[in-house]
Amino acid sequence: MKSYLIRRLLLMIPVIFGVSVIIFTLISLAPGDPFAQMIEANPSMSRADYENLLNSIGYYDPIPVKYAKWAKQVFSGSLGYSISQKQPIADMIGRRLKNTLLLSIPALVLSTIIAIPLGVLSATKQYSFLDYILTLLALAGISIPAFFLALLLLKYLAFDLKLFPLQGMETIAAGYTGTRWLHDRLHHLALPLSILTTIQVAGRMRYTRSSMLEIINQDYIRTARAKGLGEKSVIYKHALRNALIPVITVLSISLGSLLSGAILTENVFMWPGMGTLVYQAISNRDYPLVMAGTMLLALSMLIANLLADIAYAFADPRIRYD
Amino acid sequence: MSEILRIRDLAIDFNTSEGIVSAVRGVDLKISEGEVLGLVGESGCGKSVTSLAVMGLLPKPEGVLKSGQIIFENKNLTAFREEEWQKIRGNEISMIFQEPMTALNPVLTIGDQLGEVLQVHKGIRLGSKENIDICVENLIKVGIPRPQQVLNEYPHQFSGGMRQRIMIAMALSCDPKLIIADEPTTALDVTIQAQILDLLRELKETMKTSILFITHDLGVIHEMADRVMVMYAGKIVEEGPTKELFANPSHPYTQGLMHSRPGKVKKGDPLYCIPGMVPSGRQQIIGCAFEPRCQYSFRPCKTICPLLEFNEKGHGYACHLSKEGGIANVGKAVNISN
Amino acid sequence: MLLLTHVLDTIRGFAIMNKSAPLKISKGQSLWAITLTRLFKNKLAIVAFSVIILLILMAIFAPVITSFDPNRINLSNKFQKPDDIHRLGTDDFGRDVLTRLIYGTRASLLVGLASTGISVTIGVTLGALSGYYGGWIDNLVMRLVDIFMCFPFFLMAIVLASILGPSIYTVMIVSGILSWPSLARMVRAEVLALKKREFIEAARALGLNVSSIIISHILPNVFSVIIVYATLGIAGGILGEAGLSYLGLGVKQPQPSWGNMLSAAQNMSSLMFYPWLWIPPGIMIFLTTLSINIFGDALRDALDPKQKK
Repeated sequence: MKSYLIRRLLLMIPVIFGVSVIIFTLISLAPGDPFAQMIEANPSMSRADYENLLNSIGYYDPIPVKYAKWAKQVFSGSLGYSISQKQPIADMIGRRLKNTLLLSIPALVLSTIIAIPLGVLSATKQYSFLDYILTLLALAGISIPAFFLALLLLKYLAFDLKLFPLQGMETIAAGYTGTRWLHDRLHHLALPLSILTTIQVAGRMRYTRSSMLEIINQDYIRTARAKGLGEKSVIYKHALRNALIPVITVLSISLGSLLSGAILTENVFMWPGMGTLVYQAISNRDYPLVMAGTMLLALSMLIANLLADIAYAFADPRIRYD
Repeated sequence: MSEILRIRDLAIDFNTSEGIVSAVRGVDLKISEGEVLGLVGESGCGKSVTSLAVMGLLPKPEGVLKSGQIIFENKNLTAFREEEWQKIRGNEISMIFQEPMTALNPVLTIGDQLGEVLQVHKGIRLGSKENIDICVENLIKVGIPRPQQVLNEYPHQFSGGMRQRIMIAMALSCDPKLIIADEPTTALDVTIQAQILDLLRELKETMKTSILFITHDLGVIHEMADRVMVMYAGKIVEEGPTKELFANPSHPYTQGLMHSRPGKVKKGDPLYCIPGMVPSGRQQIIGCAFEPRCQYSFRPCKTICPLLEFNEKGHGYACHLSKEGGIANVGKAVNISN
Repeated sequence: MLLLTHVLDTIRGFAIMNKSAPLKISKGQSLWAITLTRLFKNKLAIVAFSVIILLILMAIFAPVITSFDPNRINLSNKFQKPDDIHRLGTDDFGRDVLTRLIYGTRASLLVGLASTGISVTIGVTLGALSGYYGGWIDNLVMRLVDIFMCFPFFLMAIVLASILGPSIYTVMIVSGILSWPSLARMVRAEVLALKKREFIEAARALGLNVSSIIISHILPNVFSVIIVYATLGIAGGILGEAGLSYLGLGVKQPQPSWGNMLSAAQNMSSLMFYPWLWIPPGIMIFLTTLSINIFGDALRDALDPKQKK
């Protein structure tokens, strides 16, 4: 296992390198520059000042030179400063990371808790009315664009019925403390969280169901029945343990999208998370911020994949890495 | 010898997307205490379905018991509710399956899978010393070395033959009165096959359990069974004591099977095979199911279904030719080389 | 085209194989026929399929269905509530929303089809090569897949879209280029498994060359994987169009698409006060992807040889 892990970690290096080169090249190729908006907002700025600004960030360097500079900086342990915000990128990302996780971790946990039992139920009652309804709901869940669902709830529940706040993650400048603060936070969290949860329940329920159906038809389930075991122990001891192996794998992989899986939903609710941060950075051509943000997201994806393989080995005694 | 299992007029249909398939079309069967009954037939003839019906394990909802009774020790199993079945399965009737590679749960230890039978039926807690002791004892009985360690290992660590031994140990756990062995050696290598057959024969001698032995391999049946039933297209076409049946195969189908055995042919000659295919069970069979493939087919075969008729030796077969008196003679006239 | 003929040949091959077996069931029951029979036993799949056909007809016959011009601007008539003339009201330029919705079908379906075409082409080619040859090709392709797999999909789409500039082609290319890796993995796995099977060994022993082995023997066998992926991929393409166009990076105005109609909701007052601008396209996207997903699901079940029902 140890040598396997080392090998996997080493294999991550070329992948990370490839990702960084591709993203760096692409973002550098994108037309526009970080100061275009500045000059629009401030027409009095002279052409020379503008050029000076561009030169100061090495805008006219060839891409490989720019990349080398960026890589050198990263290896020296600094992510640099955001061009548009003039703040240390590490601090900005730290804050946004927290906000995104505040939304995505509860969604992951809640949806898993709801989805797995429903998936099992749906599979064990295959072809029943309940299975039919659950399957249809799950299909609806993966078919509706999350941001459209978000817009609908925003319009009807938040705006028309005033049940929820319109946007953000807290009432700004209200200065709430204690339970009042907590209540305010949860109130803001409710809509985006329920949307992400709904969407994720749909996918995970379908996955659990099909995994469970596959297992239910296996020979060893017949063996378990032939032993005289009750239906509960056939399903929960013999079938579920096997059916969960792929589910656990998929769950681990989905850890990778914890940071970037809800960009449009974040956008609709103006949730100050990683998704919106990087999206704005791309729009502003804030190169160092784009690089730091996307690399972090890609890295989390890679680590999640590795975690999935490790989890697989733990869940399935047949798998041993060496 | 008292009777342990009797099946009367069993008929089973499968509802498939291509229509209803009659898998079993009226089977009568009887097994006595300590007897090994061999059930032979080509794949698809309904022998496995019959055995699953005895276990109450017909696939749901496709498999439908259309008619018939399964009487086990004077209890009518066909009237049983699921909970009653559960008390019988693995306890009084247990089953050994064809595919040892897939019949064990890959994520549970051998000890877990062996021990849970005892926990369910005998109330001996899983992981207790008593439970472990019995499991070890059973593993020794089926010839598994270092049984103590084996309990903590997983199925994938064993070969097919070893897994089949473990399945047999599992089947023996509660001293069942009847063991159903559904092609237990088919998936194994020839040498391993012989070992497993030896083991089963030994167990049969020592334990006096009745065995319903299902196979398509006549050689295996010859070695194992006290009595043989030949099944074709969901019906029994011939039945008799093993020696008698092998000496005088009487139904044209049985004769065909006997001739198909490789040992029957001179070196260099082509192997014999029965022309045609097994009927699918989707269409109605009015006359004799074997008629389209039978070289002796004559007028009544197409329209009238022949019944099993027994002689004084307990040997019977279902063929209109029996009334013509010429079976034995006709049988000798089979031209192997054609 | 070559691929298609080979697929048909294989299917015919199955049919011939079946014909050698006697009795009613096998009569003309090709793999295709079995799949279709199974598929059309599924009532929900029939409904979904009808919706898809209806949408295609709507896209083709848009000018016949509606008498309005989708791009005619009439500023004196903007933000009209739905009434008898404008059944779904008018938008911020006074254009008829229903008309734009009907014409928008074209963009969404085209994006779905084209992006799937791109990703299937790349995915199948790379997956088949990687699985068949192994070695350094496999290594290279799989690292590329790893790289693409760990791109944050939507952000990469945004970066690419900002390079290419907003247009319908951008959406097609972006969705296509970012979604092939999973198919490549699937095809590779199938090919790896098939390569070990006897009939491929036989083809190789007969001295057939590699491309003919891949095209005539392996691809038809991964056909069901590809067709299911392609079906579901169209839904993915439509969702991608919706998301990108919503952010203004997709299909460019004035050409109507469901996604850019939805982007009306980016504006607070449209979101709150003119719901007829963005709810209908959202519902269309939902219904379309739902139908495609239902149909794709049914197709997968129907193509599954293990399926009993």
